[in-house]
Amino acid sequence: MYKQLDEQALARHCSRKDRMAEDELYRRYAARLHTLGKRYLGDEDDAKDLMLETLIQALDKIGTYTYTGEGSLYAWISRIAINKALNQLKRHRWRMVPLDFRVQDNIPEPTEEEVAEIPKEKLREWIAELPDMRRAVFNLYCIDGYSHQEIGKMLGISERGSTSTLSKARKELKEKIKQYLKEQDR
Amino acid sequence: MRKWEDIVKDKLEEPEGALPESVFAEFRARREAAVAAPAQKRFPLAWAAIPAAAAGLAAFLLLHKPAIPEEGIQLIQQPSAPVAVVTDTAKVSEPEQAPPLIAQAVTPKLVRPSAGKPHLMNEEENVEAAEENVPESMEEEMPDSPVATTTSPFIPESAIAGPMRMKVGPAAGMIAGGGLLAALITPLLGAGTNMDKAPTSYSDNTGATVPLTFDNPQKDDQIVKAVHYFPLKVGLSARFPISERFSVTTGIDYSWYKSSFTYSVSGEKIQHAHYLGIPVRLDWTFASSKWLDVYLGAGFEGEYCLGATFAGEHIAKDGFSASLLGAGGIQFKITEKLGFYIEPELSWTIAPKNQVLQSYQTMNPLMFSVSSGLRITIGK
Repeated sequence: MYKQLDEQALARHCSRKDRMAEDELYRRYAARLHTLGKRYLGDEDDAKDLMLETLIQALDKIGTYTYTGEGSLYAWISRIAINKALNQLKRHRWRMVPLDFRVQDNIPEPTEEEVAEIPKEKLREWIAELPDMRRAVFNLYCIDGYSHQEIGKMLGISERGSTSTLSKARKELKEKIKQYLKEQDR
Repeated sequence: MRKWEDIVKDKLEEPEGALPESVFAEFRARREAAVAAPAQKRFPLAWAAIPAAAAGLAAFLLLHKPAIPEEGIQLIQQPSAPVAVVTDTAKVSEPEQAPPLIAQAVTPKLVRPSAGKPHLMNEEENVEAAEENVPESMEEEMPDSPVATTTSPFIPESAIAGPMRMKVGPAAGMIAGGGLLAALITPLLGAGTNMDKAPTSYSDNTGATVPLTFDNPQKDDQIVKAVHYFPLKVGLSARFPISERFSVTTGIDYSWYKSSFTYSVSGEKIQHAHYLGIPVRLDWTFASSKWLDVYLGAGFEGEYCLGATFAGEHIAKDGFSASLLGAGGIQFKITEKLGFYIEPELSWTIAPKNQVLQSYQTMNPLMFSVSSGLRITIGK
């Protein structure tokens, strides 16, 4: 019965502390949230904790959720998860600003076919290896679709700072992609 | 043609696979614990505890009464014994003895010597006074005596021999606090200093006017020792971020320079000089966390001497001076926009044309100092 519930009805049941509805919420979104956590935090255990904390908080506050269309429930929950992940990055880690003042990005853009060849695991591994700030900006801009203005507000940096950090992240990833493709050609 | 980031996005958004059942069990356990014990807001209480503790301490210091009440010695007349009725009026009864006096207090009463009669007691008199057996009614006979007039078995010895205590009431605290605040604000505002009328020179034996400065308070009275103390620098600062790591910092700095000059004739005299400066600096934040920023900066500062005093008298002051600055600092973020900073700073001061004062700054043009204050961040 609960599998057939739409987002609005599921949220309504959850707000009544319906245990079955809560379990359904977990089944629908836990894996996606776990993936999101790994993208932002780069660590399996941290990602699992983030996912659990997000779901618990979402269930506590589900009364404040407003249905705005299909997909809005996940968008609302993922926003909670992203905020939590960013707070964790800000709280636990120092943001060391590297000394490379200019980004000389002369590396050509990888083609669609080249990127399609790369396994998902490799991409996840490379993103996890990015410095905290670059990883966060890359995820926020390229994957979760936030603007530089929004990223600036979320991370407490300027819009230009966000653009510059994204350029560095892109450059680092392109280098890894090129390196990987070279190794595959040999 | 799609961008490579879009393909990366598609690949990364796919869930990695089902989570193990143990994670679901953990979720259930945490959820049930959360339902059973709803989350409490601990932080507001923790923050409220700090001002509450400070207020409690302030109240204790202001309203604290000493354990020993300050009642002084009170000689209480004992009730008279009933007098027998005298039937024979012709017979004159003997005068009745005064009832005994009993001391009922816990602290000795300190009696001031009377005005115009300075109490001079030499050593011999002192010894005599100590050895003399003072009668109980001495207070009545010698009201101006500076010594405790009565001893009592109720008075603890420590209360007699111990140091005198000073009780600061709320009114005294407010007056002292207000005075301190006024003393701090006055040099900043330059108000009430009457600098124009302050003596800045004196006439020597030949009638020539000699400026009254640090090294010339009187003829033939030469400096034998000069000590320039490390300056006190506090400020209000504003920071304008121009990128993630660069920002322009400006504000107002107040500096207090104290110097001590020992003269061959007139002895030690203290000079105070007060400066107000406006620094303009470019800062580079190289490390940052939620609570702290660590940065390096370079720029310049214009300083204006608000006034100077020498042995309590206003003297001629320096004019406008400029200095080059290099600073490193730590800023503690109180809120997102407000922080408290501590900055070790190296400055090189270009001496003003009309320099008349000697201070730590003029003696050390390349000066190291530590500045602190509040900083507001304006913009992102």
